[in-house]
Amino acid sequence: MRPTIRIGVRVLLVVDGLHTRDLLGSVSRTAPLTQAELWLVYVRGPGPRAGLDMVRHRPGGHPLPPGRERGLDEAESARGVEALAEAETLARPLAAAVRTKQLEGEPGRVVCDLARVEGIDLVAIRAGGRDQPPLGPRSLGPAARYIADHSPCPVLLIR
Amino acid sequence: MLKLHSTIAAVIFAAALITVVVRPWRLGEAWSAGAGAILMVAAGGVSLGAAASAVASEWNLFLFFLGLMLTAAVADMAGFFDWAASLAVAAAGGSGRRLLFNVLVVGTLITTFLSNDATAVILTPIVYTIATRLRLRVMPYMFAVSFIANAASMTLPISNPINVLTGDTLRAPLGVYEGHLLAASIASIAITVTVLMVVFWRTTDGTFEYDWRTSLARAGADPGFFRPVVAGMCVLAAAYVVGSALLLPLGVIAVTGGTGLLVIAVIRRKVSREHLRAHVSPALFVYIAALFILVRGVEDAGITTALISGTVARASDAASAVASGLLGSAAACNLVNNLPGMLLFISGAQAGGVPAALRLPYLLGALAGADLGPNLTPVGALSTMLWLVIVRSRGLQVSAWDFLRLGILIAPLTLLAAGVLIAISFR
Repeated sequence: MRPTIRIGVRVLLVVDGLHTRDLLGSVSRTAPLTQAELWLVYVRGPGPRAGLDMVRHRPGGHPLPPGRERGLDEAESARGVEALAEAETLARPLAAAVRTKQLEGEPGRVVCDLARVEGIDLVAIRAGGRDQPPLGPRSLGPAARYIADHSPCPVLLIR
Repeated sequence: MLKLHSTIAAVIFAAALITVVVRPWRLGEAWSAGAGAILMVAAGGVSLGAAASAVASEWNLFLFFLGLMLTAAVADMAGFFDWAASLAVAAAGGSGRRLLFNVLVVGTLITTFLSNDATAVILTPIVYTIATRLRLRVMPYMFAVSFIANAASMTLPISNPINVLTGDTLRAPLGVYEGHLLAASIASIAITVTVLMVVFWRTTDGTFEYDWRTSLARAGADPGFFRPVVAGMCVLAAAYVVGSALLLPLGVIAVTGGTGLLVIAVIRRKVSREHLRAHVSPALFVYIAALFILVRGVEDAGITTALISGTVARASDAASAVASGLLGSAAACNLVNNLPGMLLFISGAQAGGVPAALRLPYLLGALAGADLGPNLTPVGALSTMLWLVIVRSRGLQVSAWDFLRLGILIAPLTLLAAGVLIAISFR
């Protein structure tokens, strides 16, 4: 028997812009969202930018020209806006209410903080990380691991 | 007395390099190396005259770095790198996989003619922006740029500043250089492309829509500036090839070309101080000059000769000399980064640490190790470890482990292929 979600329950789904359709499908199959308030959250994490800095680092330093820095910020922000817009369109028929939010910071931490502040009842996140090369075993991505360890509410890990 | 002198020189050299790698309090490499060089002179490890001579004798390398930086700055002002990346996206036809392959091709071409540093420093953020904007996974494309920048850096004498340094020592014309290294370079590029395509085959299966016509038009928005710059860069690339063949100083060619491109920017009123500040790094010259002084100190103390004699002791023929140089320099470059690592090898070989008959295979092997070895770890083993510790202590998740896992796959394969092919070229 499938679990049901009672009226007004708040479900937070971490959207990565790459697997939105699959994630929403998995969540709604596991626990129908028709009575739930669905929070779609996209996080601009510092990991990729730190990776960029690491690749670019050279003795003597080469700062990014301001125009390039602006371009990076705009691209990251636009990616989040588009990912959330797509997720919202897909989620509308599935949930009683849909809210979207773009956050910035270490993904696990900011999601847990939001869940605590907003009284979220269930956090759903993709178990694997976003960008790792498929080499070697990896049970959980870093954000999923942090959330599994620190979330103030139940966590649904989606494969 | 000689032993004390050697000990002091070794301690100062090691302390300076450790500080460069560890970067305490985020201290820039130029400060650490500069302080080490001053200490080396103050402690008598090297006289002021010898220090000045060590720096002055490498004028070609300094000019080469300056020329490369000017060229990269003007090319960036003209939108050349954005144009090249847009071309890669256009040719991908909406396929993430084809885009990965095209990024590898563009990275190879830019590395070959503008050096590995231009690829890593300038192409990486452009590729990052494009992959982000297209909502593709970002890291496979970042890995691609990072790995191909090293894998393709052996192709021409100008593809990596270390090649210029080694070329100045060997005085080998382009024919000799390519006769020994071209096959190894092609093999290392092919291996890197193949491994990355296989590893990321599934994760780059996304598709995208892209208005490449607008993007290409925006990249070359001012044809009156863009076209002369691209034409100038083609002339410069041809001059590099001719200069390498005739053993002309590549630094002079680089700085002449870079200045010529800057003049075009001045005439077209397109000079951007922000770009110049971002690309031309005075600190890099301090860092390199300091390294030359530090290496001169340990060379005068007989340390580099002893060190290199140790690595080449069992080499009896060209093939074993290639293997000794390659493995030794790959290890050194991952410990202390490739420029100081290679400087040690050149210094030791010049000071008599390698028999004259084996010097060419030994140094070409060492050059391959220094060019391809850094793919084992993204910024040198110690630096990578330190980077991981720093970012994890701040709660950030960074992909350095993923770089390491890929490097462990790619670097040994390319080093092995290069070693075998270079050894065969001496038969």
